[in-house]
Amino acid sequence: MADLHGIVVAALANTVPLALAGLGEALLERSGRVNLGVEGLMAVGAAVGVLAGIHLGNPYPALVIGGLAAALLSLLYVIPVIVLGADQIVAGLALFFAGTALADLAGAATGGAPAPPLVGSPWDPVAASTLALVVASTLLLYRSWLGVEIRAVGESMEHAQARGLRVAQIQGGLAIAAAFLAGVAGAYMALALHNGRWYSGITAGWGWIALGLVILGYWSPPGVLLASLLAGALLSSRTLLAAHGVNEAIADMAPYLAVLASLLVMSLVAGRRARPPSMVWRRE
Amino acid sequence: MGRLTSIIAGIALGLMAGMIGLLATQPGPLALPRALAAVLTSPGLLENVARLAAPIAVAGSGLALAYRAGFITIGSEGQMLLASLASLYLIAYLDIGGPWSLLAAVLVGAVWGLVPGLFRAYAGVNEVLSSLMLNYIALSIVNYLVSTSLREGAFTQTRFIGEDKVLEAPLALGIALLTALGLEAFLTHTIPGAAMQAYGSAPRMAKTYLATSRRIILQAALASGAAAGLAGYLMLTGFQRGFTAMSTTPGYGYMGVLAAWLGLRSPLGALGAALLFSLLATAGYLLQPQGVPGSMALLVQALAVLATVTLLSRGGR
Repeated sequence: MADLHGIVVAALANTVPLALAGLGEALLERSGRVNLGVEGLMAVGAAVGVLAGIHLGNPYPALVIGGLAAALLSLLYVIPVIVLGADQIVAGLALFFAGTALADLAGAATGGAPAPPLVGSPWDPVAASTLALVVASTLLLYRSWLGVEIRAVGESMEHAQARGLRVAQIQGGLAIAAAFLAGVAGAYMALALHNGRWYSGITAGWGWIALGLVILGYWSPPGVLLASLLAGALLSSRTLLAAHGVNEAIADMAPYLAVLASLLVMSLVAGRRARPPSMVWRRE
Repeated sequence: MGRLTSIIAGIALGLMAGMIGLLATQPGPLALPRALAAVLTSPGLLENVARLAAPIAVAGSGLALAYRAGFITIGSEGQMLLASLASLYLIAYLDIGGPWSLLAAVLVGAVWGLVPGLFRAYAGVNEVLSSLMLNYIALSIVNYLVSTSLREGAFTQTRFIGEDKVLEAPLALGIALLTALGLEAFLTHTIPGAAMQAYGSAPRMAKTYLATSRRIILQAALASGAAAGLAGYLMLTGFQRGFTAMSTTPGYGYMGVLAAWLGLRSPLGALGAALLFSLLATAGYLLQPQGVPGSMALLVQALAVLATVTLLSRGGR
């Protein structure tokens, strides 16, 4: 049973970065914007987080610094898209590539040395804050004036603007906050899930998975948490599969296949009835 | 700003950002223009530029077409990987070379590329996410085959194709040019091409051309997949030659994505962008021994695209 306990702990630890990144993106998408650069933001958070951890000797401020670095990088999305009106899809993709490259640059400075790791346990302060954030953002979205404004902007930017809502401030603020959370998520991946070591490709597509989780969680904070728990469990099943003699490469594939399959099921089942914020992933 | 001015200014901004980044490294900012000059004056290195540009251009041309149709796939990375493994299998394991190995690559790329198209056309699954997931799945498949049935010798690696099977640089570039010209002609001179463009900018207008959205999406998915497959062949026979186990994908398909956007979603524009990108990447390789990380080239490319797109969106208003 020790085996099972280990897997549950790993699943919960995997949930933390997915939920953090997914939660930020969900809030941003509620305001009608999509940032495809989550993976790049997480990579920068991971690299800068490890660098900061090495210099400070303490993983907790390192998490915050990783988040701040990603928030700074998100200006490459906020200024072109929200201030200047460039296409958000292209800008998001460019941010993904720029973030990946910058992370490699910053990560090379670690020289492979480890930062003091954050001992991953489901009861650590980061996990507790994640849970608190889910509650807080649910209250924010559904029980506050700001939440009403955010959702109004997400349904129709033009009408919200006409009603005198500060569209750019709302979207820009959320984009920066979401990037901060993605950066913390990336730093958490490096410091807690990879023993404080950075390597190129460390975020392993989890930023993209988080984007999928926003859809699976149907743009609501509790939904994103639930979807993250499922994905976290799937990602931790990798060790279980490998232990049962499944080829490592095949075990690596399982979570991506599962996300793909659940996106398919989700679209088939809910696609016709339920409705995302109308400014997001807009189709004919 | 006009289109050409925007692109030139965007590239200049990207290069400037790269030079600022080089301030933090040993060789300093002037290393970038020096390395670019070194590549441009060396025939051997220019041959490398051509070999590298060919697959990026071909993948980018196909993506440009898909983006015109509003199908935002980024699956070229995985499609290229699987396609080049397919042609490796034919060339190095079955000893079937030439057109057959090229055809196999195109087929594999098209089939893998069709998956996100089917998902989008029949279930409404967002293709950005599904194609990205498929890239990771493709990476796992390649790693699986490299470590099991295609494994050769003591290390986790495949056979490599012989030096004599490596494609000549002018031939690779010729294939890329023909592909870009063909796709450009398809977009501008055929009715399905016009329907695609119409669908991308105003979906309902496509009905004028008697095309259903489902058919257009599937065509775009198939065409970009086939192009990525051809790109995979060019990657293998141009410089890859074989595979080892990988922790991340090589990234040439992603460069194709950036090339398609920098080329303003025109196949010929993507070819031009690919040439620039491979010039940058080759200059980057030259700087690596001096302690400049290889990602510097990717950073310059991404920022050039971002700057160009931003400048254009201002000019368009």
